[in-house]
Amino acid sequence: MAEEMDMRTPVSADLQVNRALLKRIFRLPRNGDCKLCLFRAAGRGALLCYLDGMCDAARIDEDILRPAKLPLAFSENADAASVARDAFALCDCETTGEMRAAVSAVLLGKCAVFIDGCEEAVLADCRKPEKRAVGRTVSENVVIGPQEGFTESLRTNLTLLRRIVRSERLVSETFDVGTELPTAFSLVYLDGRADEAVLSEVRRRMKNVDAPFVPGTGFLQQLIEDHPRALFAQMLQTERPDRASACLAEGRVAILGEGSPYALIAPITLFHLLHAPDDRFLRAQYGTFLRLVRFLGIVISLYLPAVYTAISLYHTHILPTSLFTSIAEARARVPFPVIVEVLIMEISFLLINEAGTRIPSQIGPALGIVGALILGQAAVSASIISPIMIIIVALTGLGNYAIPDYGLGVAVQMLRFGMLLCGAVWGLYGVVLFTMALMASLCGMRSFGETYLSPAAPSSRHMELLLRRPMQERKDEAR
Amino acid sequence: MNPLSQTEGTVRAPRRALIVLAAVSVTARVTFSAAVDVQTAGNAAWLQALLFPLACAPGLSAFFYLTGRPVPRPAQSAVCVLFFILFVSEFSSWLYAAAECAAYTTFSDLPLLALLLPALAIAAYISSLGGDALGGLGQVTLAVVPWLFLLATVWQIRDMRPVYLTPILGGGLHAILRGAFLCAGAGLSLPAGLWILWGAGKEEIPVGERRRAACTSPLLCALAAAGSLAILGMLAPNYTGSPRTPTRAMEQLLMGGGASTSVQFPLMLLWYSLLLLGCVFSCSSAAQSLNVLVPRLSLRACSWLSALPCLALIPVWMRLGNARETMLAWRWPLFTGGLILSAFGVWIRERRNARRAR
Repeated sequence: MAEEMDMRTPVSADLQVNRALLKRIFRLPRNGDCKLCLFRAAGRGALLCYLDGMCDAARIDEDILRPAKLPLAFSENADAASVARDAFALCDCETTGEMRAAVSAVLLGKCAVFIDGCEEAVLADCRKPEKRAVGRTVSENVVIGPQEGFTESLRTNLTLLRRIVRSERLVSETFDVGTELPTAFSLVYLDGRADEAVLSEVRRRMKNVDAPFVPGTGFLQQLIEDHPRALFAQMLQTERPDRASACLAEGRVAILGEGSPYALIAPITLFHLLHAPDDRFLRAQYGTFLRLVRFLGIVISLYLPAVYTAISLYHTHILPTSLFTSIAEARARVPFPVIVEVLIMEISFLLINEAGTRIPSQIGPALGIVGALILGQAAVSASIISPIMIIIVALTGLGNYAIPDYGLGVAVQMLRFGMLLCGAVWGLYGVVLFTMALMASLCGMRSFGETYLSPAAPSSRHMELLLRRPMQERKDEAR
Repeated sequence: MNPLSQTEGTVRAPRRALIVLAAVSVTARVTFSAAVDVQTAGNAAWLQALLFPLACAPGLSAFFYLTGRPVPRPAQSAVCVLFFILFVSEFSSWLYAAAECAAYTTFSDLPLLALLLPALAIAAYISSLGGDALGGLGQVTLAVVPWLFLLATVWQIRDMRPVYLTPILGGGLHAILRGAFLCAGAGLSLPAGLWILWGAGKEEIPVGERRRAACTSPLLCALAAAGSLAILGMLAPNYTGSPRTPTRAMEQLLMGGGASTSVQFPLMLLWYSLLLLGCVFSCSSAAQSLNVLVPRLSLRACSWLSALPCLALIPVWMRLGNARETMLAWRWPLFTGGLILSAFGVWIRERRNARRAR
């Protein structure tokens, strides 16, 4: 309560009052990060406040302290705006009469300069936060195409986008999201290209987020997407500036956040999650072929165990006799029903997969040995599973790895179990039932107003589904 | 649904998408009726399907007239009561057909209820999702079904004998015409369902969409159903019993006659999908008519309330068995009568209003 009162207090003309206030707000002297430096500038007392490590100390010396200490740096009655204009050697200076704004600027890494007799503070931008350099992408690797990915710095990410989208129409609106600990997010779009209704909806949702702390784009996505309980994400997370730029050119909006090496793209359809980033860098024929391979991967990953279970439990009559005999021979010594066999292998595969993600790289090969020897060879030798089951699970796993979006891959893994159970209980009839429910719920979903299965349902000729059109036919994309 | 989202609630689907849903489900229904329920025409079943739009003509004209103007509330309610009863019975017959198919191919020992309940629950769930889901599902099915049918046809092409379609008139002209009227009972659910799904006369529909729904769609349904029946009719049956039994017809429909057993895979997927789509269409039409009658009820509640009476009707179907043909006969006069009477009521009201204005 007292802190809120302090924050609401306007900047005082008395330097000592401001100093006492800042000491209380930043918990000095307990807090070692905040620096308050008293100095004399043009014969008047001044107070410099900044956070250690967030500012460039050399720039503070060169651009603020040294020029301000010159005898005729500013006149005796000069106000804060004149000081900022005449004394400091910085182009990015602004003034504020509110203590809250001054504190927010200091938290962002700026320097606040309070001058005796002035009821405003000068906020000078000397930021130099620590950040990692632009590096290669981690989860969206491509064979052909740019290799650089977003970093955790919002400023760097915006620069990466601006370098690709050289247009005065590229707008970046800044939002602070989080009621207690605000995080900076930027809503980026091409003005005139992005749908105004989508923009105002995104703005509205971002402003109305009622969460104390939103530390990244992943958190924000969960808070603003249309169907939080749905298995499929309704916003695309990409760590590639080229992909985000392509989406901006299509009229979509991107959200970048401080501390997140990802851009959130909206609105999207399911097919955005199926398309890989390097589709556009390849010739249309190659891109189309690879898309079809990925689609086949999804179909195999989702249906293969369920269809195998359904056919071997209920519809053996549709198998050719030779295949039926070989499956029956392989399963002759296995003591479990097919569904138990499939579940054992599926769960083992999931465990290996998850362990492989978390395991330190030095002991990664050991995991391969465990997976291949123990779960493969040993389980077959012990007649716990049949060899054909290894083929089924391996194909299913490969299909899952062909899915370009990590979240979509996890969703397909989860749905596979539902499909498997329906296949085991009702055979192909159950598989069709589950598929219809899944399709209908996908058709009923929307991402910021856009139907999720568009352009398949409702059908549209203006967007790509699986086949990639040659570039000559896509000239309308970036007006 | 995210509370921040503005797209909450029932979203009305594009009318085109709903036409697709209705057309696909009606094509399946007409094919199924001509192949399994009405077998009087024998190998001329495809002619029955080709002629059914003629029998639908009076109902379709009334539909074209009705959708061109707002319908007064009393007429709307009266027709919705009639259509609710019809669609609930339609839904239960679809459910029974789907479960019968599943039982025939796989689960002969399983109680029929175990096959009916999941289909009933899924149909009610999909219906409760609203227009976008319904229209989208129709379009997705339309994108998949032709490929499955093509696959099954190519697979069996060597076993097809056009000679099985002769003599052209099969069981005779009288039988064909009677079959066409019976198929029209199923086919009329297209205009009736669309009238309800489009809002039961709450608003005026553009001429282009009315024409597409009343003229183009039934013709396309007839061509698709006739084509499928002709292809199925060309297959050599390997069933040794009486050629005019539902079991033999089901064999022909689901297993492609005497063709390789592998072809049963796409055929089973095809028929399960189409029968379940029919369940969804009739359940959502029944739910929408209930929603028009009781606007305070949510679409979700209406969907589940429409699904429940079906359970009571299933034993009736089971007892009737092959006599479903009799029930099918009642649908044509009821659907046609409902549409014509309401069109007549609207016409009288408009005339009276015009006289008063003069």
